Amino acid sequence: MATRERAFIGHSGVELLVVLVGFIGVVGLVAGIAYSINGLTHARAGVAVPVALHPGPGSPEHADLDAGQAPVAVERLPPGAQVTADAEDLTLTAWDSTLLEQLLGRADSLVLGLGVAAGAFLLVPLLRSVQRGRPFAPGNAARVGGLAVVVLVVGIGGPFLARIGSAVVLARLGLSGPGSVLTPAGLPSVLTVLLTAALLAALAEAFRRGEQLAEDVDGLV
Amino acid sequence: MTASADRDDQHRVVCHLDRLLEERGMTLAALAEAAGVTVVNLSVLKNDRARAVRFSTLTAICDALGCQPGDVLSVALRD
Repeated sequence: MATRERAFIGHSGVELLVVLVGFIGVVGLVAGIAYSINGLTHARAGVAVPVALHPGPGSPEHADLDAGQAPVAVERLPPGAQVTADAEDLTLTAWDSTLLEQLLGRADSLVLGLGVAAGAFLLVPLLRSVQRGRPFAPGNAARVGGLAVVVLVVGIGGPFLARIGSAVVLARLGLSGPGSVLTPAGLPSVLTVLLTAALLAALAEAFRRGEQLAEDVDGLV
Repeated sequence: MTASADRDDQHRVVCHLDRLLEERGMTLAALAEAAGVTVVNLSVLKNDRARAVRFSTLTAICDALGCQPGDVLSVALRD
């Protein structure tokens, strides 16, 4: 099949993407850090962490969870603590939080913000070299590989830190261990994250081969 | 730089476009016009900065100069 003559995205389209990605990167960085710092100022106030119900006696019936942001009745919940449910998740809110709990409770947002910034940092030079007509310029394969790592860290690392925060809060409230109806929320499905990272890793390998071919063509007359 | 690029830089192929053009009283621009190859590419070839030559380029140059590939390129003896 003949190679398509028309570019998929023009010079001005790439320029628009560069500006957009750069803006999103800066916003992600600032918002992620600001949200975490804001959390640190809320020490001793309420902290919200994701939890899950441990199946067993004393667990609320599943029907209770369909109430939509309604408080869920949970046994042995200390004063000042509350469990609310939305469509799919349970959130435990507890007062008298520590700095660590606040930091871990918002760690997924911090990791997401830093990940978005790192992604933008990697993507902008890649887009610039595409704009210059040299998509296989040296370093681009490493950038795409870096994007795969960012996806893994944001998709798995962030929720994992939030899960640790959840465990810390449950332990402070005496709700951890055997017999507790609450457990730290499980990690979200990592299948999408793994598939996206694998796709990016394959793309990085294609770029690496492209860089080699570009070097071969360099000096060809 | 990759191993293949290193190997490319170690070649001993010498281009004789200078002599061929001089013998025919042609300029590089005239050859570019006759062969349908850009002046930039011919300049790269003439100054021994090329790392590879397409058969189509070589054919066009030979047609324009009325010569054979061996007249355009040769391999220098080892030091």
